[in-house]
Amino acid sequence: MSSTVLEVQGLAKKFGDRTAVNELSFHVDAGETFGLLGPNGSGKTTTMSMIAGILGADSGSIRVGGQPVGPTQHGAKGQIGLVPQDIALYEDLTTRENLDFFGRLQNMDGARRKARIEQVLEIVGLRDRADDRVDEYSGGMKRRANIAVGLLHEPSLLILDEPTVGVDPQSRNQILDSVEHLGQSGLSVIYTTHYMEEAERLCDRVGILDHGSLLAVGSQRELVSRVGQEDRIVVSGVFTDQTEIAVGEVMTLDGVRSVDVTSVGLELNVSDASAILVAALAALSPHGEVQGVEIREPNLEAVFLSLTGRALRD
Amino acid sequence: MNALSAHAMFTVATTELRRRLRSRSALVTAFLAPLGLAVVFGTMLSNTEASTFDIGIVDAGGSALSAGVTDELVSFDEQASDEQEGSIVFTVVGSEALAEEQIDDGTIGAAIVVGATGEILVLKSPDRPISAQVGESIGYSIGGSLQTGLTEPTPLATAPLGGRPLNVMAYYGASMAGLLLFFTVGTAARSMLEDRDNSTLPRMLSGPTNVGSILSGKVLAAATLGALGFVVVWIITTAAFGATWGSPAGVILMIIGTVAAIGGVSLFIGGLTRTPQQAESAQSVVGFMLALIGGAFVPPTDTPATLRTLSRFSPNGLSLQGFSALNADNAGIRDLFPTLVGLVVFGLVFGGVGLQLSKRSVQI
Repeated sequence: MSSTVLEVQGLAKKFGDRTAVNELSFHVDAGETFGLLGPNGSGKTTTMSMIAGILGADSGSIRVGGQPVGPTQHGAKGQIGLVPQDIALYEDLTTRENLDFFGRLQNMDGARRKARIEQVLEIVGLRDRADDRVDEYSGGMKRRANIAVGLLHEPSLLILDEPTVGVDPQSRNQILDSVEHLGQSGLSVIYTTHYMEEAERLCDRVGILDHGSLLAVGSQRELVSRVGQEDRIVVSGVFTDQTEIAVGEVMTLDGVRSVDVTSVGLELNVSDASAILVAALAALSPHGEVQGVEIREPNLEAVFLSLTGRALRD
Repeated sequence: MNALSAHAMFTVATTELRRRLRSRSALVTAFLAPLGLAVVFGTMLSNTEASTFDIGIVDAGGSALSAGVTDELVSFDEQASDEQEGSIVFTVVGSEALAEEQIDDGTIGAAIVVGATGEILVLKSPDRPISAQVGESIGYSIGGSLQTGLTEPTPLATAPLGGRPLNVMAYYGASMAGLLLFFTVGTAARSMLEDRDNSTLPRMLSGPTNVGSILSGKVLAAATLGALGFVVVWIITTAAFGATWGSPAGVILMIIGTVAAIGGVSLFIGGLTRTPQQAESAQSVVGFMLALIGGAFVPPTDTPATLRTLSRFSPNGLSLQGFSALNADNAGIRDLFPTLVGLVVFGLVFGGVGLQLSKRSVQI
């Protein structure tokens, strides 16, 4: 049975008249990687700041390991590791010096701090460059050093706020690999991103956040089924005056739920795209010229689109 | 209300000092800038004749009156010279021609020529304007007294009113070091706002610490550098230019008090600003204003009454009041106590309000 590491209840925050976070409730279990997926400005960073105890909430509660969290409630802070979106390091210090500084602020004693610095340098693969100044690092190495500080004091909950922003593809993969390993090692992770594919790859469950409200929470499969998403076959081509006949023909096939006429052709909503594709094309061919076919399986992008009416990166 | 954590303060302060040492900004703020300031001011002030005014006296009349005036002036010099280090030095000169010669060769800066019936002529050196001004003032003063019907010249004060004369080098050394302190200590608030912008502050606050402890650590580091800079000015002006600041214990206490007061004001200004650039500009403007009001450029005694009153309520004014008492009045630590209390209260009040304001200004 899984135990809850983070419990968020009715969390709300306003900046002036603008509601940044609106009645958020969710939980993260031990060893779970939980994704908060939403576009820029959806309230992800504000939520993370409140969970990290940096920013006070207007209402609601946050508990980590059963203890309340807030700017003046330090009890649970030792259980939280924060990796901000920016490179939150002193770039004129070495990574080892940065780790030592933040370790001291976490009240880690000398021996434990020293040992743990070596461990996290190993985890993020920066042992060889630990005594170089951070401003001599590449973007990806800075990101890894940024993660190392968040891991230093052995938190039970790691908050990763868009850790791959502005990173080259190779470094991005390294970071995603590291996060995957952390998740597998039993650490609870909250991962915020507006990259749907990162959430799909890393997260056991995902919360869809928009305009400060949590629209849905669940595993990718649950979310997809919850919004009734099906496979789609997008057929581009010219059907001219035969369109209605073509639609009628296709609708007779088993597994075709609906057909939409679009500006580029037809869009078929089907139960299983690969099973029905050949039959669908055979039915359409006599009534026009098929120029292209694309199968779209439901994903978080589609879930977001379905829930908000907008694409994730709009 | 969160208590300040000494551990967090010390950790932040040592890291801040390490970073400043590494960037060499510590070397500039704590050593090079104060050294440059001390050397420039020392050179400027040692080339003025701020501490000694050589005035010649010529008994040109040969009358009882002119002899009386001459004797009075010389006796003032003899009585005062034992107690006053530097000040007005009167020298009897045989004739007007000889006085002109001595003015030309720089031996004296002015000569007061007393005629038989008390008429006064003042000869002035264009190269020693302050001595010339002093000689002229004394000459007019004597001439005015004699012409209002007094048969005897008005005796000049034979004893200083408040111990030694003010040591100009020490005064301006303290005033300039105080001004420099504003810029040094002001870097603490700027550093805090930079930390907010680059997310190191949120990361620190995600641990078991608070804004007050972090900001106090930064102020502690900046104040340490500021105090070192002050000490450099003190040592250089004393060792290289002969400034007399007064008792070393008193000077050290005054430096600590001044750092506390200016640190508090600096925290207050930092709390009112929202960006590092705003903080820097505000520190410069307020630093200059308070220095001006406090008498850093023109001593309060030479300013209008309103400014004199205002200067007592500025950290620079209070500080200079204490340093002046040390170097001119030979004040002891007990004498400095009210000034020191004033400086510390100043620092605590402004610093306390500044800390509260900073919590708002660094809001994530």
